[in-house]
Amino acid sequence: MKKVALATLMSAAISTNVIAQDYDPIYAPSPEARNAAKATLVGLDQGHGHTVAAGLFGTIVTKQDEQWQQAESPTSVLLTSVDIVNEDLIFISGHEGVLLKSNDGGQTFTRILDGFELLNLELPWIDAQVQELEAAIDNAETPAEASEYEYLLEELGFLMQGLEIQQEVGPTKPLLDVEFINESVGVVAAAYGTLLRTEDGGESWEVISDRIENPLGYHLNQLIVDPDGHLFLVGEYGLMFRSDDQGKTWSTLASPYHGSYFGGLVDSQGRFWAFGLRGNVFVSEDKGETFRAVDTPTRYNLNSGHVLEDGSVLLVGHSGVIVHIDEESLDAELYSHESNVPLAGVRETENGNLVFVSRAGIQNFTLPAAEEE
Amino acid sequence: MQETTNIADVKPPMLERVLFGACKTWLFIFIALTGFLLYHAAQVRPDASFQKMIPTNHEFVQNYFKYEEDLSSLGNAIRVVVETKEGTIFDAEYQEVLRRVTDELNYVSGVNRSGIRSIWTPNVRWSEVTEDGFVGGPVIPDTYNGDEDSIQQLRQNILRSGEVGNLVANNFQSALIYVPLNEVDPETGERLDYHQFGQNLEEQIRDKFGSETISIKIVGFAKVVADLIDGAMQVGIFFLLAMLITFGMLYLYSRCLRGSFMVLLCSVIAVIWQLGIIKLIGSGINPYSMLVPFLVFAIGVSHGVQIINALVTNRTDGHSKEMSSRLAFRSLYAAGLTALASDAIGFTTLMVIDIAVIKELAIAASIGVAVIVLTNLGLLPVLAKYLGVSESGIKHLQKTRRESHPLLTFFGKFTQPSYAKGAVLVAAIMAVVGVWQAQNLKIGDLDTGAPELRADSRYNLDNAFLVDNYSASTDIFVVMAETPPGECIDWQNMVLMDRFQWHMENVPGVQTTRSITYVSKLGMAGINEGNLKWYSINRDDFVINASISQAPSGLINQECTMAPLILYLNDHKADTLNRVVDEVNAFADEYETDNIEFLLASGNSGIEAATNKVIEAAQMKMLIWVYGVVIALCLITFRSIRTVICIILPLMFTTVMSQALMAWLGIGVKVATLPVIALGVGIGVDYGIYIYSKMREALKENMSLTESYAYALSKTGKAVGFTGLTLAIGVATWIWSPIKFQADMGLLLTFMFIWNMLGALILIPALARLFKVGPKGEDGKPVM
Repeated sequence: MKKVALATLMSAAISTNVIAQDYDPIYAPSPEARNAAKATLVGLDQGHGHTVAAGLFGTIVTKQDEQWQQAESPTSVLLTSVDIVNEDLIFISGHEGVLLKSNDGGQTFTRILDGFELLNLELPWIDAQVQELEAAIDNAETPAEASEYEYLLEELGFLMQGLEIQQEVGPTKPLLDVEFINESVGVVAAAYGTLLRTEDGGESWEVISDRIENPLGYHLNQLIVDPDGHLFLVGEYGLMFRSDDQGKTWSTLASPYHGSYFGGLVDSQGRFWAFGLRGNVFVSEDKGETFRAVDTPTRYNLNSGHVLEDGSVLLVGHSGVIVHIDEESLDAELYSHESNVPLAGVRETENGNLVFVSRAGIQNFTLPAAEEE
Repeated sequence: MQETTNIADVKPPMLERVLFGACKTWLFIFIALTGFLLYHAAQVRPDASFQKMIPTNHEFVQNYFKYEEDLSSLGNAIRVVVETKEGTIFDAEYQEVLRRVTDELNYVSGVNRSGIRSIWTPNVRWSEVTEDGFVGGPVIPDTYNGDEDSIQQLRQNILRSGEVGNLVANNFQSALIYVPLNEVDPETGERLDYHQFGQNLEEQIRDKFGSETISIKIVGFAKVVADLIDGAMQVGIFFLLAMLITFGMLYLYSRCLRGSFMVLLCSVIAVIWQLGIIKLIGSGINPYSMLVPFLVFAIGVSHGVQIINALVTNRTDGHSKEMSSRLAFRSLYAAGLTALASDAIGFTTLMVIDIAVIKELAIAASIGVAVIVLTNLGLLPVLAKYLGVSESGIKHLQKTRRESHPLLTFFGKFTQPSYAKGAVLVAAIMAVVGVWQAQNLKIGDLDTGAPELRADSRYNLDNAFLVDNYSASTDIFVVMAETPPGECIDWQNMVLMDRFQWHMENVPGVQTTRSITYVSKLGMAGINEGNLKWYSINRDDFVINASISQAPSGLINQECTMAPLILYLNDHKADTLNRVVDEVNAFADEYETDNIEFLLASGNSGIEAATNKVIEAAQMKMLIWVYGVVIALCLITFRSIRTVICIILPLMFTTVMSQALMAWLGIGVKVATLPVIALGVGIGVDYGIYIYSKMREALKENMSLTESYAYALSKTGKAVGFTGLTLAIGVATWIWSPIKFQADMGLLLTFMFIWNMLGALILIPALARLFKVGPKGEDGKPVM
């Protein structure tokens, strides 16, 4: 079976026979929408004078003088994450392998990667992986070592199947997060264990999925960079990695939890936080070597977080859940957004005033403490 | 009133000989027929068939019919809200009531039991993603026993179920039960009797469970229909009221009890015949055509009164009972036939509107008018032959003959140039203002809630409660995405539907949308631990299939050839509906492929959009027809363009003013109000015909215009006034109908009848003066 799969794969790799459909969301420009700021928005970033949110139907909105305005967007896929690198450079990741780039502070975006191109990156990569493993099996010194590689080859079969299906139906793989360490070096985390890296500002991409220990290809949900240049990566089933060399190599961290992490952050003290399914939050003071659990008063999924100006940590999640955690005591206060919708991202506009992205678009919230002031 | 002296000597016309030659036979036939038709008329039941109220041949409705069955699970359901007036729903006592109401609804016949949803039905579940996968269960905990713990558990389950805003009010002070209905009983095969169903709901649910602390609210199409039929039944009371008032007026007018009674009797017989005949021809009576008996009655009375008038005059002149009757018939049958023919033809023009209820109304009205010819021109004189008129009537006429009514003197002044110019100027100014105001006239229904019922009706209050407390709109517009068999959820079709919905969500007036794509996106997020980053349609059809495994029924049809795309609208104003239709078409033009078509339209608002389109198109057509017919009729009768203008301009003035009134009162042009204009014009022209024909008699005798008009007034002025008032009263009682559109019809018709009467009495002489109608023209002939 393995051989058959490989054979198909090879033939397909030579002739990429998938073609774009009549209407293909990858290439269809985002519809201009009166209610753009009320679209399902998932990605949010703020910095360098910009606030940018992105989401369903390729919708990108930017905040200009307190008003949300829709930016032109060359795609209609669901956009998942925004990274503002500097005042000119913005990246946005999306479904079906779409990656957008702006060189003019979010006024215009161009598509620098799509799922068809991604497929063409991943097919040779998996081919190389297979060859490497087969060689390793052949060169194995002990039967135990050989069976170890055979196991890995088998696992690779699942990823192969995924690529095969994509060859048939078109690109299905969502890019889940994009994070640039500087103007040139960036990493993209994607579903089914795909990890990409660039050193030339997104001109070319290298598949580095094999540099993390994720043989079953679990989803990679979020990348977090700390001021010292450490890069963290969290994902499904308690996946947690750290890179100390700008994403070139990765070490697996001792995850304190086997459920999924949806996000992480680094607080003002340099501590690394990871959070996810059912209100689980963990904090590490030693760059992810050891963790302790933070007690939160919610069992809803926590999707995204942000460090406020006063150093406290704010996490948001499903059903409008807002968790505000004191930096020192780690005591958590629970609030609920009146919309009750899943919140997917949060930033602080000014002292205690928050902006969210959610299934129902942009939402605002003022922390009660800030209200009193 | 009628000229009778010189026709007593002419040879009786054939019709008269036939009628009076065998009076007893005719009387017997009339009685037998009345008995027979009464039997059938008694079986007439108001029917409010949905299909009859919509333009069944319109493209939208045809599309809807094509998928009617597939859409039924979306459509015909009621929502029963159980509200607590104290505290919240998280209370054992309240939950017990909610459980009992849910159970009881199972026993209301017509309910599709398997589809009932409430937090007390096992099909309403909560689910949650945990580290170990999905967990879930029914919202009511298996261990529920009403204690504090299980109430707490229930609260948590409700929050996790995603039913807040659907089955549970946003403020937690009420919960609702969603009750789908079987249009046809699966066991007996009988159609749902909406009226009975509505009564059952009232008795088994509202009366039984409503209390000081619990309020029951019921919303849904079936309830609207039931309330409509209920309201329509009250119309019987209005009919009695109209009869009483008319009788009083008849008596005041004639002072002849016998004569008044005969007119009333014959007019009621006309109504019985009309109802009996429509039952026999298999046509029904609907809340719209219910107006017809009132009109038939009023028109019958107005013609009957002329017969009685002539009878009394003839008796006063010393003729025998039989001769008086014969002469009354002889002098009136031609004029009566002409006037009734014009009414009937006026009604027939309504047939150009392709909506069954309006056609039924046209047929019923035409039958009614035809029947009046028999009852009030046939039966009435025969009856009078035997019964005669009372002495008091004769005396009254003798007395009033000699004196002119002050009002008639007043109207007589409008032949004077200053009065004429003044009247025409005032009318012209009013017409200009009217035309300007009529610009605001809207097509369709303008009120929120069920437009058939009054804004403050219990139904609409219930409906407003639902809209306020739940995330639901009751104005639903459905677009049907049609695909080849089995391809309704293909990725390519799904992404287009998804884009379509987003396109529509950005159209002003569209609140939100739902369809299988929404479920698929939620399902995708669900499969991926609720992660919003997956809230998207997947390219892989297998994944799409998995994502919709939990989809509620009705979002795709059995053959997978159609997926309803449901748009919830802010309101059903014509502007909103037009905008929605335009935007659907714009999207379809740009994105439709060989594999997907976006078909308009279903849902109450979709059907209303079709109705509006038909009404809008029919409005001008109907006006042209009705005026065309009336103008032709006048031309044939009078052979003078000047005369036609004198008669038609006042009618047009009334039409403009009633449109202005509609705009001012916020009444839209709709199924109920469109026929009113035709009825108003068709009946209104009678006044002009009566007055002008008498004027011409005098003009031919070379009398001056003022004299001629005074002559016409003395001959027909009172009759015209009386007819206007009888007609107005006949329909005015409708203003109190609990059915909004009946009230609108009543109001507009009352306005039109009175306005037409005044227009005829004031503007005809004034216009005649301005057009220099008079005894001598340049050629020495009278100008008419």
